[in-house]
Amino acid sequence: MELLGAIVAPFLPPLLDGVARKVKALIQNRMGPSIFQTWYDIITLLSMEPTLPTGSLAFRLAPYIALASALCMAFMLPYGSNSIINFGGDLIAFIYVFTLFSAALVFGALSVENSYSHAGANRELTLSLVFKPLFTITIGIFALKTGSLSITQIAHSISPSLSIVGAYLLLLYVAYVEAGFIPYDIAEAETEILEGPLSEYSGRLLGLLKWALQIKRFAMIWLFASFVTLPIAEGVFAFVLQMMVFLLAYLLMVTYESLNARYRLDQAMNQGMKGIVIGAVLTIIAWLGW
Amino acid sequence: MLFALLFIIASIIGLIKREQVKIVGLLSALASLALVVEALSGIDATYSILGLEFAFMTDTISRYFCILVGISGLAVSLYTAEYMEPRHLNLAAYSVFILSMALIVLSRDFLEFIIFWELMTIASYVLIVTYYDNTETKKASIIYLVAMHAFNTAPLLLAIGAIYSQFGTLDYSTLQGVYVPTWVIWAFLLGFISKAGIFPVHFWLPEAHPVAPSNVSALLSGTMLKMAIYGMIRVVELFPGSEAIARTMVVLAILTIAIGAIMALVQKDIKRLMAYSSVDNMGYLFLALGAYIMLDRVLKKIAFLALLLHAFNHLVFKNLLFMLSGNVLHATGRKDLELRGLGKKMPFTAVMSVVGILSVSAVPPLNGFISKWLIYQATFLSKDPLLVGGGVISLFASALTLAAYIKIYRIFTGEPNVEAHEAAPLMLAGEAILAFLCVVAGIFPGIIARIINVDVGNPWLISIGGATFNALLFAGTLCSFIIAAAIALPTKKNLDAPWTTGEPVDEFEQKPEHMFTPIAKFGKKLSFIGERIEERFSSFERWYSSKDLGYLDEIMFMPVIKLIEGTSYVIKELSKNLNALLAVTFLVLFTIVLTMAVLAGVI
Repeated sequence: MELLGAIVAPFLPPLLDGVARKVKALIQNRMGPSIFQTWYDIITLLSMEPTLPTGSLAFRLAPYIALASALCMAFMLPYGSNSIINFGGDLIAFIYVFTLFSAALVFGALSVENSYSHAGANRELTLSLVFKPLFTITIGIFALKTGSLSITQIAHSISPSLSIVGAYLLLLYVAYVEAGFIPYDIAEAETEILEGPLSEYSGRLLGLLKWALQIKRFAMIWLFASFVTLPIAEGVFAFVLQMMVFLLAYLLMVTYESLNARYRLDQAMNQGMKGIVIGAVLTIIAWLGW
Repeated sequence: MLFALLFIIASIIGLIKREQVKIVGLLSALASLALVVEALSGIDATYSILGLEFAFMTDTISRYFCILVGISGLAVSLYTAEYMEPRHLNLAAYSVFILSMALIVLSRDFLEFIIFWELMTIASYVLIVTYYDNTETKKASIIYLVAMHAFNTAPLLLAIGAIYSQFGTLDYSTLQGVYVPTWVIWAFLLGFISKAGIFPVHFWLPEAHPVAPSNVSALLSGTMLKMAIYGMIRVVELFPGSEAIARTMVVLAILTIAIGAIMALVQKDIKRLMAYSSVDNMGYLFLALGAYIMLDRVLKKIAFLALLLHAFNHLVFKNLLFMLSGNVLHATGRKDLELRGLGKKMPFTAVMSVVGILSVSAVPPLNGFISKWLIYQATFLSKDPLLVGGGVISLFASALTLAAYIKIYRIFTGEPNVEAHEAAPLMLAGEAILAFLCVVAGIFPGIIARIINVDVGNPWLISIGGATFNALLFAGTLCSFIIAAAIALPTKKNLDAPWTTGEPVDEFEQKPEHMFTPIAKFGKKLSFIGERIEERFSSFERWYSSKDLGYLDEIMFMPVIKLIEGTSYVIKELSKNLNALLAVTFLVLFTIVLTMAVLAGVI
């Protein structure tokens, strides 16, 4: 069952991005591109030879590492009841593979002499300084209530309580931010800094990076969907339910994204800080037993 | 104890022939290798010197720390052979430094412990003042010496003295499990946290480590700080009743983690940044130790493994990073973050820096991840809110560490703005050993765990407490994805200049002090508070010395001196008249005899 994830994780996300563009277009009262447009874009990019602005090995290697870590993240999640890569404490490994993804992006961006790339790298790291702790606090609440740090084990043993509901909402927020939807796509801002870390990439390397970003987005929202559905379902039914919850959450996020403008870095940080305070309060509530 | 002999020979050579850096370095490397080999097979020796019995024996923990000292000694000595500039006694002090650290962990009673501890402090002081003509070094070395003796040696001596006066012996095996007064454990805690650089007493670390030559900084930051952890583990293992200090230790450790990581972010000097990062990592070690004391059963084992693995990992990557900063300093003469473009002329340094940076940020599949993963397991699953808070702060600090070290990566990219050259082969060899260990310990962490006899199931993975992390499989999966993608979608080298929309890059270049501004503001506030506290202290000192109190002893002894002065004046006057002098002398003698008779109880 979980091997279905090996097909879903790499090949579904660009299709979802196409759906997102269609939804955004419909909200903005235009036709928009076809659902497969993102796939067409990625395939075109993958077939083109890149132009390298620097001979640095880090620049060339970064998209491959980013793709590998995004796939690893996706493979650590459950499809149905089990996941492909599964071990105790893999929620921490999930966070750190995410860190590897950011690190690869940042190392690649810093290897080229372009102020926009550097600005994008800076923003990527600054955002992670606030939102990784928020993610950790959310995980801390789940770990306190379920006594485990394994994704599948937490997903199967969540029982509803006040702090868990709060933790779900926080997880939804963190998934939204880390997926890089519009109020928070500060690092890869298209219009402000020419796509930030991606600006000097072209051709095949750009295609790989875009694909990796889509897979990362998928992984974060699938994590949320797993935590919501797996306590109440098993096997194939769980997978179908996960897919439905995921699509619902994705569509809601895309709709919210279409109605918003991008935050400045300090505004996003303030939101993150407020989230951390709420998370700390929720942790205390969880420790008190509710 | 062949290694001790080799170290002593090396230090004698260093003493007699002050310029033979290569010989001393290579001999020290050989001696460290001998230390590792002997420690693996166990050491059990007793010597009688000047009537004192010195016994050296390895048990599980001391064997592990011996191997740690040996590994770092080997790598840094190879580096030293090409790097260190011999000045005054520092060549002799170098071998003595490593030898004293090895003997600290091998000693079997507190007497040897404190003797070699003090020897280590003195040797490290000599090494720190290598560049004694630099004003910065003078200030830093005084802070180091005073802080070490006031906060480290003094409490340790008090504690050891109390143990001796209560039990009459200082031997570990006799003292195993005896109950000591709680204040003794507090004194030990104070002594060891000041050596390790934990929050209230961490101020000496960012001053002392940057001014020392880079190989010495590597040993100070990587290995000497572990001696404090070793001492604390010893005390916790010997004496029951350490629950009293556990909570305080965890609170201080959490503060240290936060402060060290934030302060590392705002530094402009490479070595100071790394020194603050060491402070941060020592916080992790004490957090793990506190968790070890506070938890029980499975989580206790996890915390213990986390503690020892992180000691190894930090030793390896911090030594590596400091030696790489030495490469940069040696090649360019600068250690600030304004350097650019060193990657072109120093490719090996750049690659090993990436390995070091990824290790310190705990990115899988390198070694830093394993120990951090274990720390998170121990803290998050503990159901204790203090420890869970510690886990959250750890992750925050982990992200801050990545951000801080990215600034160091930046010096290797871009167009060069200084002349540079790659480091000498021996220097690179020392660093390559540690870089290799970083990767190996990340993929096969079970090997390290085997040395401490912690049961982790299969030696190729870490399986503890129901959680199995197969690092090899994980690294293999990542690598296979990368290789598959690289084979399916390769890139040809098709070079061109960067397109920056036509704007000149240097005008809009992002300076390191402007990176991470929202968080860096906190760091600036923290350093501002630190400066205010220092200002208060120094203003008190200025007030005190401005008073015409002069010396303290003058106040105490002045009246007596004035009395003697007055008496001698009177006698001088009297001597001008002989009769009067004889009369006074007779009177004085009579008074003395009378006083003594009264005192003896005769009258």
